[in-house]
Amino acid sequence: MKIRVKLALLAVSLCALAIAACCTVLIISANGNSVNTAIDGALSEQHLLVQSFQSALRNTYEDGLSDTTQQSLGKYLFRQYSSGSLSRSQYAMRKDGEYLHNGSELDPADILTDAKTRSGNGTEVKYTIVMHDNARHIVVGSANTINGGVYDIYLVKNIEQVYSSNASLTAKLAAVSLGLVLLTAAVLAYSVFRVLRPLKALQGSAAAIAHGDYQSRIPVKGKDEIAALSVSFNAMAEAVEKHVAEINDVAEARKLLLAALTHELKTPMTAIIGYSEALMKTRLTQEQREEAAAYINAECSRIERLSQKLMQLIALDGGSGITIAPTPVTELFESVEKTLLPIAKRDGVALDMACGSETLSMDADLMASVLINLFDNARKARAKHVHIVCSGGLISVTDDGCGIPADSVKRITEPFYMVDKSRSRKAGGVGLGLALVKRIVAMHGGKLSILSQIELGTCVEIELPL
Amino acid sequence: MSRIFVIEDEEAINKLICTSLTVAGYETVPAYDGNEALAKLRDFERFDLALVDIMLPEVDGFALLPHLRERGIPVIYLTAKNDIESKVQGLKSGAEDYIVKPFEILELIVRMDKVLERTGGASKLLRAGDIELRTDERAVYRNGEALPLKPLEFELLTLFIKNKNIALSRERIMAAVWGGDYFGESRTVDVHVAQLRKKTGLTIASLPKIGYRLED
Repeated sequence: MKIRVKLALLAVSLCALAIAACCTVLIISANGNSVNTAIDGALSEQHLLVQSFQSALRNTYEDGLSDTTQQSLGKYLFRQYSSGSLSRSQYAMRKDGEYLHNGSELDPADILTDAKTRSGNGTEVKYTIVMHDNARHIVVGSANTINGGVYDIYLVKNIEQVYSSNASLTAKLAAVSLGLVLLTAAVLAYSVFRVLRPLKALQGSAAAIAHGDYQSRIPVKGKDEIAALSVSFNAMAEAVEKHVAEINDVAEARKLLLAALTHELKTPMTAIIGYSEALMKTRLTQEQREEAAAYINAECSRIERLSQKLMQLIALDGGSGITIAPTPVTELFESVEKTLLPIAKRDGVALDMACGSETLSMDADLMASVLINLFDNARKARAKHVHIVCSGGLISVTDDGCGIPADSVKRITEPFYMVDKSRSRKAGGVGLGLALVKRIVAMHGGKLSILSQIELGTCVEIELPL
Repeated sequence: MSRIFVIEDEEAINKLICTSLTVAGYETVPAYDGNEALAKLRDFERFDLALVDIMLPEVDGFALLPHLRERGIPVIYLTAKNDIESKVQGLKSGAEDYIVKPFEILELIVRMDKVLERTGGASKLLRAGDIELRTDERAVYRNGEALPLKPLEFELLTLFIKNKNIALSRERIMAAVWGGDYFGESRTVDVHVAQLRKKTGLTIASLPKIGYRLED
C-alpha cells in the first residue's frame, strides 16, 4: 500500500472514530435527557391529576354517604376530569382493587406490580415504560387515600414520539458525521498527496540516476522535511555525478594513454622488425650489418626508456610510494646537482643552482626527478645555460634553448606529445617527461606553469604549497 | 632502374627502406621532412614512386600529395595509424596504396611492384649478373644471346631479380609463381631453382631455414 493511502486511511479512520464516539455520547445523553423529561412530565401530570381529583372529591364529600354513592361520585368526578383533559394521556382509576374507570387499553395495576418506585410529596409513585401497539407507553400510578378510601390513580401516555425524535436526531447526527468523515477524507487525501508529491519526483530522479542520467535533479519547494530531503538528494546526485565524471575522465585518460602508447610503439617496432628481417634475409655489406644492429639496439633502448617512464607514471597514478615530508631545499638541490653536473659538463651546458634556506613539504626523490627531467628537456632544447632557482615556495628552471611554439605549450604536458618528434627522438626523448613532471607537481598540490618564447628559451615554474 | 622517393621522418625507418630497396635493385632518394621533400622534388627530374609517411613534421603527407600528383608520381602511404578513417582519407586523396607499420620489406616490394606496373614506372629491363630480362618481350638474354626459358622459370627469374639480394621463403616463391592456391610440394621449388641456376649461371644461394636468395 502506498504511504499516502496509508496515511490518509489512518487519519480518516481516527477522525471517524472520534466523530462516532462524540456522536454516541451526544445521542446517549440526549436520549436519556428526553426520556427523563418525558418521565418527569408524566409524573407531574399524574400528580396534578391526583391533586385535582383529590380536591374535587374532598369538596364534594359529605359525611354519611354510602359506599356506593361515594364510588359513583368518585367515578363521575374522575370521568369528568379525564374527559376534560387536554393532554393526550389516558387516565384510569381503581378503588379497592376494582377499576372505576380505565381510559386506556392496558391494565396499569398489573403492569406496575414490579415497577420502579419514586417517592415525593409524601406519596409513593410507581412508573414503568411498556410496549403497546408498537409504541412505547409510560404508565404511572400511585395509591392515594382520600376521605378514608384508597384510590389508585393511573396515567398512561404514549411517549413514542420522544423515541422517534431521538431516532431522527441520531439519523441526522449520523448523516452529518458521515459527511464530515467524507470531507476529512477528501481534504486529507488531497493534502497528503500534495505533501508527498515531491517524493514521486524524488523516486523518478533516483530511477533516472540509476539508469545513468547523472544530471537528474529535483526541484526544491518549501522548507519542510521533504524539501530538506530533496536538498540532500540533490547534493548526493551532484557528488555521484562528479565522481562518475572523475572516473570516466581517468578511464578516458588511460584509454588515450594506451592508444598513444600503442601508436608510439609502432615506429620502434617497425625499425626493429625491419632491420632484424634485413639481417636475416638480405645480403648486406659488413657496414650495413653493423648499422642495422646499431639501429636495433637504439630502438630497443628507446622502448626500454619508454617502459621505464611509463612504469613511473603508472606507479604515480596508483598513488603509492609518495611520502611528502618537510625537506630543506638545499638538500634537494645538492642531490640534483650531483646527478646533473657530469651531464652538464659532458654536453657543455652551464648549470646554475641557487636556493635559500627554506624547507618545503615534498617527496624529495620525486622532486629530484622533476628537476632532472626539466634539465633534460633544456639540454634537448640545445640550451647553453640552465638556471635552477628556488625562492619561497617557487622553484624555477630557466633555459636559453630553442623554446616551444605558443600553440604547443598547452599540449606539451600530454603524454607522448612532442613538438618535433624526429628531433626529440634523436635526442632520446620518449614524450613522457613533462607528463611525469605535471603528475608529480599535481600530487604535491602544486602548480606547474610553462612560459616559453621561441628561439629565446623556456622557463618552467613550480609553485609548491608552503 | 625505378627511382623511389622515400619520405619518412624517422631516420631508422627511412634508412631501412632505402637500404633494402637499394640492394633489391631500386634507386632511392630519402627525405626526412615535408620541406626537404618539396626541395628534392625540384632537384630531381623523375621519380617513379613515392613512399610517404603521413605524420611528417612541417608539411604532412596529405599536404604533400598534390605536389607529388602534379608531377604524376604515384604515392604509397606509410602510416602507424591502422584506422579506417585515415585509410579512406589516404586513398580518397589519390594515393595508390596504403601500408601500415610495422610492415615487412617483401610486402612493401610486392605492393610497390603492383603500383609500378600499373603506372608504367616499372623497369622493362631487369638485370642480374650477365642476365638481362625484358618484361615487355618476356625474353631473357645472357650476354646478348637469347636464353630460352620455360614460362614458370621465367616467372621465377622475374621474382628473384625483383627481390634481388633478399631471401625468399619457399612458401612465398610458391605463392608468387604457382599462385596462392597451389598445394604442391616445396620440392617443386627446389627443382625449378636448380634448373634456373643451371640455365642462367646466376648465384642463387640456399639459406637454411630461410629460403633462396639471388645474390648480385
